[in-house]
Amino acid sequence: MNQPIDDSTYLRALLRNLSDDLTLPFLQIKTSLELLLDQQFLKPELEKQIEQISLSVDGGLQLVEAYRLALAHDNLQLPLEPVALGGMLQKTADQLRLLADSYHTDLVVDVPRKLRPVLAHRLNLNAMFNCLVLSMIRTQAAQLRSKRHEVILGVHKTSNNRVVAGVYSRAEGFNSSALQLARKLTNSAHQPLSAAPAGASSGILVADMLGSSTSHPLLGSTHHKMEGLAAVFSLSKQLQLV
Amino acid sequence: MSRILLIEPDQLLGNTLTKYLSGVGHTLFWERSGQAAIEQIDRKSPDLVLLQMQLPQHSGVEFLYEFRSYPEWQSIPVVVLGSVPISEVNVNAGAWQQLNVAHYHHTPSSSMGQLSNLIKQLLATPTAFR
Repeated sequence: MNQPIDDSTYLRALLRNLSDDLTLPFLQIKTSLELLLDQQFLKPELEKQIEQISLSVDGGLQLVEAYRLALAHDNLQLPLEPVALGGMLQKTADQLRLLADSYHTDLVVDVPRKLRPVLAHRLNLNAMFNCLVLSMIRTQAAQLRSKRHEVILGVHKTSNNRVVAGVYSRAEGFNSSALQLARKLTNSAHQPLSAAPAGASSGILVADMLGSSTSHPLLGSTHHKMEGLAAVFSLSKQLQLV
Repeated sequence: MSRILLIEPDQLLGNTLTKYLSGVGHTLFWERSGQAAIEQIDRKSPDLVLLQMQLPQHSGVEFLYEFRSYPEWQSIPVVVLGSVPISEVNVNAGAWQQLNVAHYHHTPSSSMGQLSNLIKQLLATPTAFR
C-alpha cells in the first residue's frame, strides 16, 4: 500500500481522522433536533429537518462502513471481477443524489459508450466512489459560492488502453501532491487534506485505502478540464455480460 | 438587532445555525471560507464573528491573523467554533489572547441555546478570551 508509515500506525491515525470527521454528521443531527425543539421552528421545519437528519445518518454510516471494509480488506489478496463502470457510477450517483441536492449539487455520470468492463472488486469500488463523491460534494460546496454545483463521476481511456475512473469538480486542491501530503499528515494533522473542510478529508483517505487494497490507489486526474481524484483500471478481457 | 458573521463551510450545519440564530433575533451573514468572510466584514461591519476552525484551503487561525491585522476590526469579538477539545488545537493560550478570541465553543458538548446566550453576553460586555 502507498503509506509512508507502518500499517498499524496508519490505521490508528486514519481511525482518528475518521472519528474527527464523524463529528460532522452527529453535529448536523444534534443541531437539527435542537431547532425542532424550538416551537417557532417545529411546524415549518419538521419535514425538511427530518430529511436532513436522515441524510446525515446515511453519510455517517456510509463512512463507517467504508472504513470497516477497508480494514477487512487490508493486506488481503482480493479477487477481481469484470465490473461495468457505467452501471457502478450510476448506482453511486443514484445513492447520493438526495444528499448532493442538500448541498445544491448535481451529480453527472460521464462514461464513454460501449466501454468494456474493468477488472475490479465490486464492493470496494462502490464504497470507494461513495466516499470520494461525498467528500467532493462537501468540499466543493464549502469552497465555491455558486448557487448550484456539479460533481462529475467520469471515465476516460488512456492512450495505452487503460481506463481512468474518478470524481471531478471545480474544487481546488484535489491532486496527486495534495494526496501524497495527506497520506503523510494523517498521523499528525486534524486536517490532512487542507482543501477539504471538517468532515470531508477522511473519506478521501478511506477511498484511497480501499483502492490501494486492490492495487488501484487514488491519484490526481483531469476530466474535461475539471480536477479530481481517480483510479486506473485494466479492461477485462472477458466478454461483457449483458 | 445585532449583525453576526458566521464562517461555517458545511452547508447543512450553516443552514441550521443561521435559522436558529436568526430566529432569536440576530441578522446573520454566512460565508463558507475565510477569504469571502474578509470581503463580507468589509461590507457588512458585523458586531460579532462566529468562526469554524477547520476551513477549506486555509485554517481558522490563518483567518484570525489576517482579520486581526486590520486595526478597525480589533474590537469585534470572535467566537471560535471547534469540533475538537481546545486542548487538541495547536494554539497556545497566549496566541488566543493575542488574537483576541473571546471564547472557544466546543460544539459537540454544547448547544445552540448556550451559544446564543454566550453571544448575548459578549455583545453586552465584550471580554478577553475565556
